[in-house]
Amino acid sequence: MNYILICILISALVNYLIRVIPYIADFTGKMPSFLKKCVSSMPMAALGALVFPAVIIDFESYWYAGILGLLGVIISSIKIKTMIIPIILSVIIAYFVITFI
Amino acid sequence: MNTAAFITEIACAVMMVNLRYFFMGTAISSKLHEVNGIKRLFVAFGTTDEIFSVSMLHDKNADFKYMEGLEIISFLGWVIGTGIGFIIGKFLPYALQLAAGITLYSMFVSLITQEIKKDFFNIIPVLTGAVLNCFLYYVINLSSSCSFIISMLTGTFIGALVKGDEK
Repeated sequence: MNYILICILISALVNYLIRVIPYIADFTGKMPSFLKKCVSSMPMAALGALVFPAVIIDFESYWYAGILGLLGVIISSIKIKTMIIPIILSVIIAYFVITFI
Repeated sequence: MNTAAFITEIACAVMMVNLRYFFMGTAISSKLHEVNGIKRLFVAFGTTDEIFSVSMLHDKNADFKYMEGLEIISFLGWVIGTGIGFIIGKFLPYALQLAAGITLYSMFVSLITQEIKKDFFNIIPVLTGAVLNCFLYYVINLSSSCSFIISMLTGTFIGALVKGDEK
């Protein structure tokens, strides 16, 4: 079989296996209460680490545009409950900062 | 021999880069009490950062319809978005292309803000994850996937400790 194809298939297999194992083997059934607290605080820790420093890396020399855009999201999200308006606002802020500053 | 070693290396690299989905899957799985058997295999297929964030912060227990709806809509969004981006990307100005890259992070920050509004102590795991990830990436020079896993687990641990102190 083609060598590249084998690499792609192995990657796909590993990629899927690592996702599917926790769904098949339910590790959460008899969890102690501390681990349950861990599961509930995991999204917040993951989100913090997903945003920084990725946004700075993505925006390269315009990193401040990314930061200001996210600042706009924080301020607008305090008042607005829907997600889409803060997101559009952040794109507009980042665009203007990149273009004019 | 060399080929086998190289394939093993690729498999290990893919595993390291995607290890975070193992932890995320464990957390999502804990919300899927009513989903059994083969349906779980479908839900597992769509485990991504976005699906994890949105489904975990969904107030109720997630059922199969909710998860599949979320995953199919996201999947269509990625495929159609990539297609549209490929076609119109050439005509969009560079500044707008760069600015549009903020949308994913904006979604994450919007989710964070809503959760901090509910409980201010949520800021502790967020800051731990973000600050530690920056430190490990820029100062220690760890790879992004490695620093992410360490930061996420440390933030999770500290967040759970704080929750314990509250009660």
